[in-house]
Amino acid sequence: MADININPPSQEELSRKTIKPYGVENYSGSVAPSNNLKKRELQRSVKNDDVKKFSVGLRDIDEAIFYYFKEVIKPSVMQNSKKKNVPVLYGSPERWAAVQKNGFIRDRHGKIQLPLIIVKRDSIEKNRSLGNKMDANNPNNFGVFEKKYSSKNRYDRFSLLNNRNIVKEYQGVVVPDYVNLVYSCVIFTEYIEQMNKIVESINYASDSYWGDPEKFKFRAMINNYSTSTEIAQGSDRTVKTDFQINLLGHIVPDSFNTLPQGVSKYFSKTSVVFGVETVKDINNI
Amino acid sequence: MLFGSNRDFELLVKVNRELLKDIVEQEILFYKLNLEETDANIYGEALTKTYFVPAKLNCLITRGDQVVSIDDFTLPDLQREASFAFLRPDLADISVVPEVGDIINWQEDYYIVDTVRENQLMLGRDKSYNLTSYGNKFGSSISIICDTHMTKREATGIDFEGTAYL
Repeated sequence: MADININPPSQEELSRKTIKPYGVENYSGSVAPSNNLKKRELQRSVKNDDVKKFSVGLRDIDEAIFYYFKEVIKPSVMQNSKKKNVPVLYGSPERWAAVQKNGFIRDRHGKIQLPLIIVKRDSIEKNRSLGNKMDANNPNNFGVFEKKYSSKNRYDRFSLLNNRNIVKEYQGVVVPDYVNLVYSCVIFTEYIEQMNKIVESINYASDSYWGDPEKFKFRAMINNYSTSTEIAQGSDRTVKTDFQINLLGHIVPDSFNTLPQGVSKYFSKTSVVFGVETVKDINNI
Repeated sequence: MLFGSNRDFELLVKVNRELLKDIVEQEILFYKLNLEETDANIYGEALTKTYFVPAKLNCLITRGDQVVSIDDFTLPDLQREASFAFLRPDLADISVVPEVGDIINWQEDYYIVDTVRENQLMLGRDKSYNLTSYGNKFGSSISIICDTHMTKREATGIDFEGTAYL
Protein backbone atom coordinates (compact mmCIF):
# COMPACT_ATOMS: atom_id res chain seq x y z
CA MET A 1 0.00 0.00 0.00
CA ALA A 2 1.36 3.38 -0.98
CA ASP A 3 2.26 5.82 1.74
CA ILE A 4 -0.06 8.73 2.02
CA ASN A 5 1.61 12.05 2.75
CA ILE A 6 -0.53 13.52 5.45
CA ASN A 7 1.54 16.71 5.54
CA PRO A 8 1.42 18.14 2.05
CA PRO A 9 3.77 21.06 1.40
CA SER A 10 2.45 24.49 2.16
CA GLN A 11 2.09 27.17 -0.45
CA GLU A 12 5.23 28.83 0.87
CA GLU A 13 7.24 25.60 0.56
CA LEU A 14 5.98 25.09 -2.99
CA SER A 15 6.94 28.66 -3.86
CA ARG A 16 10.42 28.31 -2.44
CA LYS A 17 11.12 25.25 -4.56
CA THR A 18 10.52 27.28 -7.69
CA ILE A 19 13.18 29.85 -6.76
CA LYS A 20 16.48 29.25 -8.49
CA PRO A 21 19.33 31.50 -7.26
CA TYR A 22 21.34 33.11 -10.02
CA GLY A 23 24.63 31.39 -10.90
CA VAL A 24 23.93 28.11 -9.12
CA GLU A 25 23.95 25.21 -11.50
CA ASN A 26 21.87 22.11 -10.91
CA TYR A 27 19.96 23.73 -8.10
CA SER A 28 17.84 21.07 -6.49
CA GLY A 29 15.52 23.38 -4.64
CA SER A 30 16.44 21.89 -1.30
CA VAL A 31 18.31 24.99 -0.08
CA ALA A 32 16.08 27.72 1.26
CA PRO A 33 16.44 31.23 -0.13
CA SER A 34 18.37 33.79 1.83
CA ASN A 35 15.42 35.39 3.57
CA ASN A 36 14.40 32.25 5.39
CA LEU A 37 12.60 33.50 8.47
CA LYS A 38 13.76 30.61 10.64
CA LYS A 39 17.49 31.18 10.41
CA ARG A 40 18.93 30.50 13.82
CA GLU A 41 21.85 32.86 13.37
CA LEU A 42 19.43 35.76 12.91
CA GLN A 43 17.45 35.02 16.02
CA ARG A 44 18.31 37.04 19.12
CA SER A 45 17.30 36.35 22.66
CA VAL A 46 15.19 39.04 24.25
CA LYS A 47 15.95 37.83 27.75
CA ASN A 48 16.55 40.78 30.09
CA ASP A 49 15.78 43.10 27.20
CA ASP A 50 14.49 46.41 28.50
CA VAL A 51 13.69 47.95 25.13
CA LYS A 52 9.99 48.21 24.58
CA LYS A 53 8.85 47.23 21.15
CA PHE A 54 8.50 50.38 19.13
CA SER A 55 5.02 51.27 17.98
CA VAL A 56 3.12 54.41 17.06
CA GLY A 57 -0.63 54.09 16.90
CA LEU A 58 -3.55 56.23 15.97
CA ARG A 59 -4.15 56.87 19.61
CA ASP A 60 -0.64 58.33 19.96
CA ILE A 61 -1.46 60.72 17.14
CA ASP A 62 -4.79 61.65 18.68
CA GLU A 63 -3.10 62.20 22.03
CA ALA A 64 -0.59 64.48 20.34
CA ILE A 65 -3.43 66.71 19.16
CA PHE A 66 -4.98 66.83 22.62
CA TYR A 67 -1.64 67.43 24.29
CA TYR A 68 -0.95 70.39 22.05
CA PHE A 69 -4.37 71.90 22.64
CA LYS A 70 -4.22 71.46 26.39
CA GLU A 71 -0.54 72.09 27.15
CA VAL A 72 0.68 74.44 24.42
CA ILE A 73 -2.20 76.39 22.92
CA LYS A 74 -4.14 76.38 26.20
CA PRO A 75 -7.20 78.10 24.77
CA SER A 76 -8.96 80.36 27.25
CA VAL A 77 -11.58 83.11 27.22
CA MET A 78 -12.68 85.91 29.51
CA GLN A 79 -16.19 85.27 30.73
CA ASN A 80 -17.93 87.38 33.38
CA SER A 81 -14.56 89.04 34.09
CA LYS A 82 -12.96 85.70 34.83
CA LYS A 83 -10.48 83.72 32.81
CA LYS A 84 -11.94 80.40 31.82
CA ASN A 85 -10.00 77.53 30.22
CA VAL A 86 -11.70 76.02 27.21
CA PRO A 87 -12.21 72.26 27.55
CA VAL A 88 -11.19 70.15 24.56
CA LEU A 89 -13.12 66.93 24.07
CA TYR A 90 -13.28 64.16 21.51
CA GLY A 91 -16.55 64.15 19.60
CA SER A 92 -19.39 61.70 20.25
CA PRO A 93 -18.22 60.05 23.45
CA GLU A 94 -20.21 57.35 25.19
CA ARG A 95 -23.36 58.64 26.84
CA TRP A 96 -22.19 58.09 30.40
CA ALA A 97 -18.91 59.87 29.69
CA ALA A 98 -20.59 62.77 27.93
CA VAL A 99 -23.01 63.43 30.76
CA GLN A 100 -21.50 61.99 33.93
CA LYS A 101 -17.72 61.88 33.52
CA ASN A 102 -17.57 65.18 31.64
CA GLY A 103 -20.21 66.70 33.86
CA PHE A 104 -17.99 69.74 34.41
CA ILE A 105 -19.08 71.17 31.06
CA ARG A 106 -22.73 71.12 32.15
CA ASP A 107 -24.81 72.70 34.86
CA ARG A 108 -26.60 70.54 37.42
CA HIS A 109 -29.55 69.99 35.13
CA GLY A 110 -27.43 68.91 32.17
CA LYS A 111 -27.30 72.09 30.07
CA ILE A 112 -23.98 72.40 28.26
CA GLN A 113 -21.94 75.45 29.19
CA LEU A 114 -19.68 77.16 26.65
CA PRO A 115 -16.94 77.65 25.47
CA LEU A 116 -16.02 74.23 24.20
CA ILE A 117 -13.81 72.66 21.53
CA ILE A 118 -14.75 69.35 19.96
CA VAL A 119 -12.19 67.35 17.99
CA LYS A 120 -12.93 64.30 15.89
CA ARG A 121 -10.82 62.23 13.51
CA ASP A 122 -12.41 62.10 10.07
CA SER A 123 -10.14 60.23 7.73
CA ILE A 124 -6.80 58.54 7.24
CA GLU A 125 -5.16 58.50 3.84
CA LYS A 126 -2.04 56.54 3.02
CA ASN A 127 0.90 58.66 1.92
CA ARG A 128 3.01 56.58 -0.47
CA SER A 129 5.37 59.40 -1.41
CA LEU A 130 7.52 59.29 1.73
CA GLY A 131 8.56 55.67 2.10
CA ASN A 132 7.34 52.16 2.16
CA LYS A 133 8.04 49.01 4.09
CA MET A 134 7.75 47.20 0.70
CA ASP A 135 5.93 44.09 1.91
CA ALA A 136 4.01 43.64 5.13
CA ASN A 137 4.68 39.89 5.04
CA ASN A 138 8.41 40.41 4.86
CA PRO A 139 9.28 43.98 5.92
CA ASN A 140 12.94 44.21 4.97
CA ASN A 141 12.98 47.97 4.72
CA PHE A 142 13.75 49.23 8.20
CA GLY A 143 15.42 51.96 10.16
CA VAL A 144 18.04 51.41 12.83
CA PHE A 145 18.32 52.96 16.28
CA GLU A 146 21.37 52.57 18.48
CA LYS A 147 20.70 51.89 22.09
CA LYS A 148 22.43 54.42 24.28
CA TYR A 149 23.55 52.01 26.94
CA SER A 150 24.23 48.33 26.79
CA SER A 151 24.86 46.21 29.86
CA LYS A 152 27.56 44.47 27.86
CA ASN A 153 29.65 47.67 28.11
CA ARG A 154 29.46 47.98 31.86
CA TYR A 155 33.28 48.28 32.06
CA ASP A 156 34.06 51.13 29.73
CA ARG A 157 37.82 50.35 29.58
CA PHE A 158 37.09 46.79 28.58
CA SER A 159 38.52 47.33 25.10
CA LEU A 160 41.99 48.04 26.48
CA LEU A 161 42.07 44.76 28.40
CA ASN A 162 40.71 42.46 25.75
CA ASN A 163 41.52 44.24 22.51
CA ARG A 164 37.87 44.41 21.62
CA ASN A 165 35.66 47.28 20.68
CA ILE A 166 32.63 47.98 22.78
CA VAL A 167 29.43 46.30 21.66
CA LYS A 168 26.83 48.56 20.18
CA GLU A 169 23.28 47.38 20.44
CA TYR A 170 20.96 48.20 17.56
CA GLN A 171 17.23 47.93 17.21
CA GLY A 172 15.66 47.59 13.80
CA VAL A 173 12.33 49.35 13.36
CA VAL A 174 10.25 48.82 10.29
CA VAL A 175 9.62 51.81 8.03
CA PRO A 176 6.27 53.14 9.19
CA ASP A 177 3.14 53.61 7.20
CA TYR A 178 3.04 57.31 6.45
CA VAL A 179 -0.47 58.64 6.61
CA ASN A 180 -2.29 61.92 6.20
CA LEU A 181 -4.96 62.40 8.81
CA VAL A 182 -7.80 64.88 8.79
CA TYR A 183 -9.42 66.05 12.01
CA SER A 184 -12.63 68.04 12.15
CA CYS A 185 -12.79 70.57 14.94
CA VAL A 186 -15.59 72.80 16.12
CA ILE A 187 -15.22 75.68 18.54
CA PHE A 188 -18.34 76.81 20.38
CA THR A 189 -18.38 80.08 22.29
CA GLU A 190 -20.97 82.44 23.67
CA TYR A 191 -19.52 85.53 21.98
CA ILE A 192 -17.63 86.36 18.79
CA GLU A 193 -15.00 88.23 20.78
CA GLN A 194 -14.17 85.04 22.64
CA MET A 195 -14.08 83.14 19.37
CA ASN A 196 -11.59 85.59 17.85
CA LYS A 197 -9.08 84.95 20.62
CA ILE A 198 -9.32 81.18 20.31
CA VAL A 199 -9.01 81.18 16.52
CA GLU A 200 -6.01 83.51 16.71
CA SER A 201 -4.15 81.22 19.06
CA ILE A 202 -4.94 78.07 17.09
CA ASN A 203 -4.03 79.71 13.81
CA TYR A 204 -0.66 80.74 15.24
CA ALA A 205 0.06 77.09 16.05
CA SER A 206 -0.71 75.92 12.55
CA ASP A 207 2.08 74.43 10.41
CA SER A 208 4.12 73.45 13.43
CA TYR A 209 4.80 70.10 15.00
CA TRP A 210 2.12 69.14 17.50
CA GLY A 211 2.63 66.65 20.28
CA ASP A 212 4.30 65.83 23.54
CA PRO A 213 8.08 66.36 23.27
CA GLU A 214 8.53 63.25 25.41
CA LYS A 215 6.54 61.14 22.96
CA PHE A 216 5.76 61.88 19.31
CA LYS A 217 5.28 65.07 17.35
CA PHE A 218 3.48 65.40 14.04
CA ARG A 219 3.19 68.28 11.63
CA ALA A 220 -0.26 69.82 11.74
CA MET A 221 -1.66 72.29 9.27
CA ILE A 222 -4.87 74.29 9.30
CA ASN A 223 -5.92 76.04 6.13
CA ASN A 224 -9.21 77.78 6.79
CA TYR A 225 -11.80 78.55 9.43
CA SER A 226 -15.49 79.06 8.82
CA THR A 227 -17.35 80.96 11.49
CA SER A 228 -21.13 81.13 11.76
CA THR A 229 -23.35 83.02 14.14
CA GLU A 230 -26.93 81.80 14.38
CA ILE A 231 -30.03 82.67 16.30
CA ALA A 232 -32.80 80.11 15.98
CA GLN A 233 -36.31 80.30 17.44
CA GLY A 234 -36.42 78.66 20.84
CA SER A 235 -32.69 78.14 21.23
CA ASP A 236 -29.66 80.11 22.33
CA ARG A 237 -27.52 82.20 20.02
CA THR A 238 -24.59 80.11 18.88
CA VAL A 239 -21.17 81.24 17.71
CA LYS A 240 -19.43 78.35 16.00
CA THR A 241 -16.20 77.94 14.05
CA ASP A 242 -15.35 74.85 12.02
CA PHE A 243 -11.86 74.01 10.87
CA GLN A 244 -9.88 70.99 9.81
CA ILE A 245 -6.45 69.90 10.99
CA ASN A 246 -4.42 68.16 8.29
CA LEU A 247 -1.78 66.14 10.06
CA LEU A 248 1.17 64.22 8.66
CA GLY A 249 1.46 61.10 10.75
CA HIS A 250 3.07 57.72 10.72
CA ILE A 251 1.97 54.40 12.11
CA VAL A 252 3.90 51.38 13.31
CA PRO A 253 1.38 48.91 14.71
CA ASP A 254 2.35 46.60 17.54
CA SER A 255 1.35 43.49 15.67
CA PHE A 256 3.73 40.58 15.23
CA ASN A 257 4.44 41.04 11.54
CA THR A 258 5.93 44.51 12.06
CA LEU A 259 9.17 42.96 13.27
CA PRO A 260 11.80 43.44 10.58
CA GLN A 261 12.71 39.93 9.59
CA GLY A 262 15.57 38.71 11.72
CA VAL A 263 16.98 42.12 12.58
CA SER A 264 14.79 43.49 15.33
CA LYS A 265 17.88 43.43 17.51
CA TYR A 266 21.52 42.97 16.63
CA PHE A 267 25.00 43.88 17.85
CA SER A 268 28.00 45.55 16.30
CA LYS A 269 31.18 43.64 15.61
CA THR A 270 33.53 43.79 18.55
CA SER A 271 36.51 42.22 16.87
CA VAL A 272 37.39 40.82 13.46
CA VAL A 273 39.50 37.68 13.50
CA PHE A 274 41.32 36.40 10.42
CA GLY A 275 42.10 32.71 10.37
CA VAL A 276 45.21 31.37 8.65
CA GLU A 277 44.64 29.35 5.54
CA THR A 278 47.11 28.10 3.02
CA VAL A 279 46.79 26.86 -0.51
CA LYS A 280 49.20 24.86 -2.57
CA ASP A 281 48.48 26.60 -5.81
CA ILE A 282 47.56 30.28 -6.05
CA ASN A 283 45.71 29.61 -9.24
CA ASN A 284 43.22 27.35 -7.44
CA ILE A 285 41.73 30.13 -5.36
CA MET B 1 -51.68 77.15 51.46
CA LEU B 2 -54.16 74.42 52.21
CA PHE B 3 -53.45 71.59 49.83
CA GLY B 4 -50.45 69.56 48.81
CA SER B 5 -48.72 69.55 52.17
CA ASN B 6 -46.06 67.04 53.14
CA ARG B 7 -48.71 64.82 54.80
CA ASP B 8 -50.73 64.75 51.58
CA PHE B 9 -47.60 63.85 49.67
CA GLU B 10 -46.72 61.05 52.06
CA LEU B 11 -50.19 59.59 51.59
CA LEU B 12 -49.73 59.75 47.83
CA VAL B 13 -46.37 58.04 48.05
CA LYS B 14 -47.78 55.29 50.26
CA VAL B 15 -50.61 54.55 47.83
CA ASN B 16 -48.26 54.57 44.85
CA ARG B 17 -45.73 52.31 46.55
CA GLU B 18 -48.46 49.81 47.27
CA LEU B 19 -49.64 50.06 43.68
CA LEU B 20 -46.18 49.50 42.22
CA LYS B 21 -45.05 46.82 44.65
CA ASP B 22 -48.15 44.70 45.22
CA ILE B 23 -50.33 45.23 42.15
CA VAL B 24 -48.23 46.22 39.14
CA GLU B 25 -45.20 44.25 40.33
CA GLN B 26 -42.82 45.27 37.59
CA GLU B 27 -39.22 45.03 38.79
CA ILE B 28 -35.94 46.10 37.30
CA LEU B 29 -32.31 46.27 38.38
CA PHE B 30 -30.82 49.73 38.19
CA TYR B 31 -27.05 49.83 37.55
CA LYS B 32 -25.39 53.09 38.52
CA LEU B 33 -21.94 53.70 37.06
CA ASN B 34 -19.10 54.05 39.52
CA LEU B 35 -17.27 57.01 38.04
CA GLU B 36 -14.32 56.80 40.40
CA GLU B 37 -13.57 53.25 39.26
CA THR B 38 -14.37 53.77 35.58
CA ASP B 39 -11.72 55.58 33.59
CA ALA B 40 -12.56 57.21 30.29
CA ASN B 41 -9.90 57.40 27.58
CA ILE B 42 -9.41 60.43 25.33
CA TYR B 43 -12.28 59.28 23.14
CA GLY B 44 -14.69 59.36 26.08
CA GLU B 45 -15.08 55.62 26.28
CA ALA B 46 -14.21 52.89 28.73
CA LEU B 47 -13.43 49.33 27.69
CA THR B 48 -14.18 48.19 31.21
CA LYS B 49 -16.94 49.76 33.23
CA THR B 50 -17.58 49.43 36.93
CA TYR B 51 -20.99 49.72 38.54
CA PHE B 52 -22.28 50.03 42.05
CA VAL B 53 -24.29 47.11 43.39
CA PRO B 54 -27.54 47.22 41.40
CA ALA B 55 -30.74 48.33 43.09
CA LYS B 56 -33.97 46.42 42.63
CA LEU B 57 -36.77 48.89 42.04
CA ASN B 58 -40.46 48.79 41.24
CA CYS B 59 -41.57 50.97 38.36
CA LEU B 60 -44.05 51.43 35.56
CA ILE B 61 -42.67 50.25 32.25
CA THR B 62 -43.86 51.61 28.94
CA ARG B 63 -42.62 49.10 26.41
CA GLY B 64 -41.91 49.83 22.80
CA ASP B 65 -42.23 47.11 20.20
CA GLN B 66 -39.28 45.04 19.10
CA VAL B 67 -38.01 46.39 15.80
CA VAL B 68 -35.48 44.65 13.59
CA SER B 69 -33.53 47.16 11.56
CA ILE B 70 -31.75 46.24 8.36
CA ASP B 71 -29.52 48.44 6.30
CA ASP B 72 -26.93 47.90 3.61
CA PHE B 73 -23.85 47.37 5.74
CA THR B 74 -24.97 45.91 9.01
CA LEU B 75 -26.59 42.70 10.07
CA PRO B 76 -30.25 42.73 11.10
CA ASP B 77 -30.32 44.13 14.61
CA LEU B 78 -32.96 44.13 17.31
CA GLN B 79 -33.93 47.52 18.62
CA ARG B 80 -36.37 48.46 21.31
CA GLU B 81 -37.23 51.53 23.31
CA ALA B 82 -38.72 51.60 26.77
CA SER B 83 -39.58 54.12 29.45
CA PHE B 84 -39.21 53.35 33.14
CA ALA B 85 -41.17 55.54 35.54
CA PHE B 86 -39.88 55.47 39.12
CA LEU B 87 -41.40 56.84 42.26
CA ARG B 88 -38.92 59.55 43.20
CA PRO B 89 -38.96 58.85 46.97
CA ASP B 90 -37.96 55.23 46.18
CA LEU B 91 -34.80 56.52 44.52
CA ALA B 92 -34.17 59.07 47.26
CA ASP B 93 -34.38 56.35 49.91
CA ILE B 94 -31.44 54.47 48.36
CA SER B 95 -29.60 57.63 47.24
CA VAL B 96 -29.72 56.86 43.53
CA VAL B 97 -29.82 59.71 41.03
CA PRO B 98 -30.59 58.39 37.54
CA GLU B 99 -28.43 59.97 34.87
CA VAL B 100 -27.89 59.57 31.19
CA GLY B 101 -25.71 56.51 30.55
CA ASP B 102 -26.91 54.42 33.50
CA ILE B 103 -28.12 50.90 32.78
CA ILE B 104 -31.47 49.27 33.55
CA ASN B 105 -31.79 45.51 33.44
CA TRP B 106 -35.26 44.25 32.68
CA GLN B 107 -36.02 40.67 31.66
CA GLU B 108 -32.29 40.08 31.11
CA ASP B 109 -32.21 42.83 28.51
CA TYR B 110 -30.13 45.92 29.12
CA TYR B 111 -31.41 49.43 28.52
CA ILE B 112 -29.23 52.49 28.53
CA VAL B 113 -30.72 55.73 29.81
CA ASP B 114 -31.05 58.36 27.06
CA THR B 115 -33.10 60.99 28.86
CA VAL B 116 -34.10 61.59 32.45
CA ARG B 117 -37.37 63.44 32.88
CA GLU B 118 -38.52 64.89 36.18
CA ASN B 119 -41.61 66.89 35.40
CA GLN B 120 -44.46 65.54 37.53
CA LEU B 121 -44.95 67.83 40.51
CA MET B 122 -47.68 67.50 43.10
CA LEU B 123 -50.02 70.46 42.51
CA GLY B 124 -47.33 71.92 40.25
CA ARG B 125 -45.09 72.74 43.18
CA ASP B 126 -41.69 71.43 44.23
CA LYS B 127 -40.74 72.00 47.83
CA SER B 128 -37.05 71.91 46.97
CA TYR B 129 -37.25 75.14 44.93
CA ASN B 130 -39.63 77.46 46.75
CA LEU B 131 -38.74 81.02 47.57
CA THR B 132 -41.35 81.54 50.29
CA SER B 133 -40.69 80.60 53.89
CA TYR B 134 -43.52 78.08 54.00
CA GLY B 135 -42.95 76.75 50.48
CA ASN B 136 -40.85 73.82 51.61
CA LYS B 137 -43.93 72.28 53.25
CA PHE B 138 -46.02 72.01 50.11
CA GLY B 139 -45.76 70.06 46.88
CA SER B 140 -43.07 67.72 45.74
CA SER B 141 -41.60 65.99 42.74
CA ILE B 142 -43.37 62.65 42.34
CA SER B 143 -41.66 60.72 39.62
CA ILE B 144 -38.51 60.31 37.57
CA ILE B 145 -38.98 58.86 34.11
CA CYS B 146 -36.04 57.35 32.25
CA ASP B 147 -36.35 57.03 28.50
CA THR B 148 -34.08 54.26 27.31
CA HIS B 149 -33.13 52.09 24.40
CA MET B 150 -31.96 48.49 24.39
CA THR B 151 -28.19 48.17 24.35
CA LYS B 152 -25.70 45.36 23.86
CA ARG B 153 -24.90 43.39 26.98
CA GLU B 154 -21.23 43.06 26.02
CA ALA B 155 -20.90 46.84 25.87
CA THR B 156 -22.27 47.22 29.38
CA GLY B 157 -19.84 44.68 30.80
CA ILE B 158 -22.54 43.38 33.15
CA ASP B 159 -22.92 39.72 33.88
CA PHE B 160 -26.40 38.93 35.09
CA GLU B 161 -25.56 35.49 36.43
CA GLY B 162 -25.37 35.48 40.21
CA THR B 163 -25.97 39.21 40.51
CA ALA B 164 -26.48 40.45 44.05
CA TYR B 165 -28.66 43.51 44.44
CA LEU B 166 -29.91 45.95 47.03
